[in-house]
Amino acid sequence: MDQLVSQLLLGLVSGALLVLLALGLNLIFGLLEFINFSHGALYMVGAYVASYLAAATGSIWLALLVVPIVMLLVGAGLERTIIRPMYGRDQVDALLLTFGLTYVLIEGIRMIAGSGGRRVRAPELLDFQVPLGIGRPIPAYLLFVVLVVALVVGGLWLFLQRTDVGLVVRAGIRDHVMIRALGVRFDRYRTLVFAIGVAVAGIAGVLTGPITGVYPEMGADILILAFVVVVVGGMGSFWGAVAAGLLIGVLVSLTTLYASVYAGIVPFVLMILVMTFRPRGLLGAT
Amino acid sequence: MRVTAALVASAALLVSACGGTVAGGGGGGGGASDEPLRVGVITGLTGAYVQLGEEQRAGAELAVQALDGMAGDRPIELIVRDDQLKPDVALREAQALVQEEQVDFLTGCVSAATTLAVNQIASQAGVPYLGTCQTEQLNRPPNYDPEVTYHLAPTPSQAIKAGSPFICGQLGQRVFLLMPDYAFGHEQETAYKNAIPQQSGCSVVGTAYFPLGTTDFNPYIPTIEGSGADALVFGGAGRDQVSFLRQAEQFGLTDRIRTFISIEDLTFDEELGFDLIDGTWAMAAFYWNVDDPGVQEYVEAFRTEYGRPPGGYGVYLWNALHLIAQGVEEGADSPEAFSEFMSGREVSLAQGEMTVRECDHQALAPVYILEGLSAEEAADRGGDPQFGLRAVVETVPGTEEYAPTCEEVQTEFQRAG
Amino acid sequence: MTHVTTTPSSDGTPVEGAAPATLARVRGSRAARWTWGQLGLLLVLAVIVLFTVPNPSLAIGMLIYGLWAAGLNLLVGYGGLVSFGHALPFAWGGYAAGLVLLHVSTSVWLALLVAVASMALLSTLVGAVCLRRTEVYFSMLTLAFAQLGFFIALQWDSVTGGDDGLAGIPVPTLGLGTGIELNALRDPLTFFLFTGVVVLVTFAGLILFTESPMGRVLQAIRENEERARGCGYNTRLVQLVTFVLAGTVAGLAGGLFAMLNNFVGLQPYWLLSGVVLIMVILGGRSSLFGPVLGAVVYLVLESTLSRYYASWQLIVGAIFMVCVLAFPQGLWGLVTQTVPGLFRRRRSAG
Repeated sequence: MDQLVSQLLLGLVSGALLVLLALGLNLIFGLLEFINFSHGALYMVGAYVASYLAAATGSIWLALLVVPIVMLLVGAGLERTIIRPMYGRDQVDALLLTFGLTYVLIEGIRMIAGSGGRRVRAPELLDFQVPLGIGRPIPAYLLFVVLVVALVVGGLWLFLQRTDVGLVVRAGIRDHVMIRALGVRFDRYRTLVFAIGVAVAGIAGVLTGPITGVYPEMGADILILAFVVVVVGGMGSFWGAVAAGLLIGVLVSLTTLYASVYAGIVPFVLMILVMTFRPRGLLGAT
Repeated sequence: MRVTAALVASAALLVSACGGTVAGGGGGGGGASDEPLRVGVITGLTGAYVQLGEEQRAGAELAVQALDGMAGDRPIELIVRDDQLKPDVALREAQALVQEEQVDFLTGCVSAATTLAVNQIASQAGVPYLGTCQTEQLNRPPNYDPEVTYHLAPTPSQAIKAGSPFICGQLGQRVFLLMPDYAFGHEQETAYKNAIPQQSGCSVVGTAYFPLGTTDFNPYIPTIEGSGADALVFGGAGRDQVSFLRQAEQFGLTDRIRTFISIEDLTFDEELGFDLIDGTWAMAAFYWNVDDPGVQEYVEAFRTEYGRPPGGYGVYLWNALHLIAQGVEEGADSPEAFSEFMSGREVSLAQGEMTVRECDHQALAPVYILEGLSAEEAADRGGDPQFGLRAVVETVPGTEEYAPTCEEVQTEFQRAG
Repeated sequence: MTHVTTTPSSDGTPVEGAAPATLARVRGSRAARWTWGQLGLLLVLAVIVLFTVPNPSLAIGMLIYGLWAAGLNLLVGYGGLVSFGHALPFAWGGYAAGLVLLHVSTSVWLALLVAVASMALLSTLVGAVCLRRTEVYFSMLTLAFAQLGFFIALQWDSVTGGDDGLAGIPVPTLGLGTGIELNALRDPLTFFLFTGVVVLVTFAGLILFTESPMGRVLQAIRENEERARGCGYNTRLVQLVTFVLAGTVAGLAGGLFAMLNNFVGLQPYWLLSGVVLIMVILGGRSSLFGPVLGAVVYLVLESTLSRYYASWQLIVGAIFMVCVLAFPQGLWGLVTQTVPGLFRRRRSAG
């Protein structure tokens, strides 16, 4: 029983990081109508920036503040330069473009930082175990990750629900032709949403560093998982992505306990099942 | 249609201008006694294990330097190619080395799949190939070709047989195996499950696999702790080690369960951060502070050139080039003569005392058991606090005892026909 | 979520040669010039490869990759369906042919027949799920299926050889009373010629399909699916047939690739979805010949650049991005657009 509880909790931690990536992907898809294939690579870039900042300052605290800002600017810059020309064109062109961008980013990082990974330490302040009363004690850093993810998710939700900007974004996701007809300068919102999505991926990168280390291909596998989360949760559904992310984290974790060989395959089977029986996703609009 | 006509015309021009291609074809190796000795090195210079590949290139180049560029009276010429860790590219590059560059010897590799591809070309072309990655398959049917195939790295089963007495004797009697879910992990699992029950009182209490590219090891930790194991063997290499040890340490797992790393390499250690090594054990076919003149000659050469000690992958290339040069110097410049030269050869090179046994051309070399230290501890023991954070606690000599016997190998060959 | 078809840009900036759709329309107006001419172009390219590429494996590989990319372009260029998982049929074909050669018969025909037939069946099933949604859903679903296939190939090692793959696949024989062996190492010329014939015949079949009524409907669906459906066409069926056709061609290419290497395994088979897509975009998706050219150019770049520059993929990635941004019609599109212009100018001058 104790083991089961530990396994569930750790599944939630893995799921929480997936949620961050999936939310950014989902938001960008909702408003810009293309899948940002470079999302994983941008997450990796964020992690690298954090690793250099952490090496310079000795901990990831500063990186947690600076990386989102850096990635916000990177995102805005990318949107203004290379993504924008894609809007008038076929949806797949943007997908292909970001696919090429992935190559460039991964190889670029390899050139700058080398193929070997870099290590990032968890802050010393969090270098202890938290006894939860049930199951094994859990490293404080993992609980901290869950806390940050919860804050980011909550913040994004409030931003979308409670601000005027969020209102326009939500309306744009519904029907952007109408929004433009109302005279809204829609391109600014597109830049903003892309930048926010990238910044959130950057935060995920910072948080992942102390858990797995940082290396050039780190975004490749998790991008596919994040996409699975988006599809399972329902494209464009905010809470769908959150729920599906946590669900997949827990499912993978439990499979590890009972049949570790199949842990890698579980998300894909789930996705194919969802696409077959509930094509709009668990919480997607019908 | 004018464009087509122009293209046809230019094609016709090219046809008349060009020679040796698919249409032309090429011949095999071989050369007169004062012609350069051409050695083809195929290794992964791009892809996930680029550091290991670079180190193999360095090992080969340093060996040529150490030999003053000569094998007997023939100057050595190295031709290095990248296989990108892909078998089809390895095949292509091996073919290019044999047909275009007309190499006399082939060597190198960091991944098992590419070694088989290179061996296939070597066998077809009759060019000796000295394989350098730890796999059970190179010198077993259907891959082994007694005319050309040699294996200089230890096989997983060899190393594991040598390491198991230490695990059971010093670390714990209830062993948990955490293995990567691909051939390298399965080979290790089989070998451990054979070797561990042979130690008295020792048993495997659990096994878990992690898929290729796993970065999140957290879910495995309760499984390991729940098994009641007191020793843990981790079979992953490179990045897997980094991720696993980092997460295990956050849980304090390595304090509670003695952890043994099945494959150690200095390049992995550097990425791990040496702080994580402290309090773990490992096994390796090479470690740079082993007290042996042959080992130290290589380490010196490497340090002079690169300012840091070598990891474990370049050593095979250093040895390969030395063996080739020595063979050619003694007149073994045909594949048959080289096979005769190599069979049963005993040498002392950068892996220590080593024998290339006759029945399957497998090198039998020592295996080292290493203890991970903290920087202060390393300095206290008179070691190097920057790189030397592992101390050799046991040297298991390379003897037949740890490899499958030649009879076993023979029956396997007979079964395969 | 609203409907998924692309809404016209209201930024008022109709980009020059914007969608491949526009280009295809332009090309379509003088299609007669290049439809069957492509077959001649392919023949010329194959002859050039035969006499210039110094490495036999590379030369044969160019034909095989070219065929695979041309097949993928049915989906990408003609159908507007970008598959990110086209390694699945390629690998499947490779394993199927390899297993037949290993365990059943060394007949090249039987091996290729099994590869193609089993792949057609599998494609029907996979396509039925993937085509439940189009656009990006389709892309990512194909990716998921390829991933699933990778896991199965990795796990089921009693059949697939797992991570080690299937080594030592026997040299296939041509049969038909000729006693000819297809040994890519000992006799690359025969292998090249055989592959060349298979590729040319298949390529002709692909041209036939794109010129058939169904091929036309496919392009109509890409331009505007709702309108095509409105015209009474079963758009899903047309897309499914295309998916199966592209998968079958990839299966054939995979089978040939297994024979070329006498080896099938996780590496490189499962990692090539991205590479083949690059070949298509690089060469140009508005024709069937473009992807073949893209495959040849990519492999030339790979085999030369990688020898001198470890980060060669950076260059490939950058070229790819430039292609998507500035030349959506790819290298071949560039040639067909500029070269006739040059001729015309010269003619008017003279």
